[in-house]
Amino acid sequence: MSDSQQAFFTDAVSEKLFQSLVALAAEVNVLRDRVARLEGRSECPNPSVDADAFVQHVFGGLAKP
Amino acid sequence: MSNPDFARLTLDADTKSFQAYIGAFRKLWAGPLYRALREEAITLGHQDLSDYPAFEAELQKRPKHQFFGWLEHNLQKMKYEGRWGIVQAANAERVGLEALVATPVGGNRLTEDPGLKLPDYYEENDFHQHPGGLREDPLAAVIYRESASASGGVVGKADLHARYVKALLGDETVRNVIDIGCGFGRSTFAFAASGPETTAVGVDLSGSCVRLSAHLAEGRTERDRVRFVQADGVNVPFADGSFDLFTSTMLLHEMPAAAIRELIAEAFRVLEPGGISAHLDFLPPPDNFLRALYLGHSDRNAEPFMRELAEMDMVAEHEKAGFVDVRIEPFAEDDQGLGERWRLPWTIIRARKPKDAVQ
Repeated sequence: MSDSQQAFFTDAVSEKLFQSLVALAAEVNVLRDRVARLEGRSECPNPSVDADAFVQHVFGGLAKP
Repeated sequence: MSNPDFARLTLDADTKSFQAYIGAFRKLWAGPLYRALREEAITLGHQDLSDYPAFEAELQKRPKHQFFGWLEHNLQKMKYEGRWGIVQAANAERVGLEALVATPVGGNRLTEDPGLKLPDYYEENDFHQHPGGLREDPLAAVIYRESASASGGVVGKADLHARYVKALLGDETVRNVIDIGCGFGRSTFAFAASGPETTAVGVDLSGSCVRLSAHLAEGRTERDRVRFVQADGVNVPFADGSFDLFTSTMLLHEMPAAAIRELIAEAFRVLEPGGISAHLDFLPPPDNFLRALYLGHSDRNAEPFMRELAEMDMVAEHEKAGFVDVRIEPFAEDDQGLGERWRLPWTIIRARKPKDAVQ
């Protein structure tokens, strides 16, 4: 069975903080798309393209030296 | 009627947004984050292969590696779980989908074995974090297929299996193929499509997988040349010398070493003299950084037997079973080139049963 408690960070607080941040951003991404649909900004929103830009904007710094 | 969308999940808009987020994160993980980690890794000591344990220990202290590992494990988990996960999407349509996949399959394309004794390793592991594995849920294969394509999965790549067939056979054709661990049938279909008279039998431990595959065969040009059988690949219900190609795709790394040895022996048994055994799988290259990511994937993605596969001498194992001309070659899954993004190290392991082998 997969281990749902698997840890990757050297301290538990960082682990939980990052987990919360990723989950929060997921919620924001879903809500962004929902608002776009409600406002009718696009007849056919493209979640993939929007998500790429969003994730890069929020988390791209992870890959910076 | 061509029916590639048979039993497809209907993802709602929020689920699509969430899965797109996972896919976007996987791009960041496999691209920029991987490259940044690689740049850091080449500055570490212990690059010699004999110093691998020390290299791995150094790498694991690096924050970028900790982010990399966290994302690898959790993005896969998130893809399946939670209110916008694929399992929830399947549950929302469960009654209708179960009735649909349970409908009779036409022709002689499906042989199920509900009493099949599943090997312990298969019972005990939820490979690639698929909740519950592919064992019991009648919708397991439906969920697996969706997960393979919903957010950048490898097995969802449209032409992966056709490329494997081309790399393996070139312009040659085979007559009778047995495809072990066929999943939802893509590899079996690709081999059957390789020649106008080629027949292919897909074999899988998962009843859900062989059933979905048989349904998906409906309407395909090669539908009368494919069959799907629920069985253990190490003990298939076919006579000696029945096939001229024995193959698997992404199967070996999900089997313990003892089972792989049994599989190689079974390949030798069911191949005709001169027949080919070929497996598309993953083996670590001689590079400490790539080896660390390979072995890390084993730990992070519920693939415990990748370590055993990495330790096996596949040339020796095949030769011990009687095979000759054993070759281990890298495989390119697409035209984008290797090295600029993290992919598991695709490898083809091929061997030939001697033409003068005693049947």
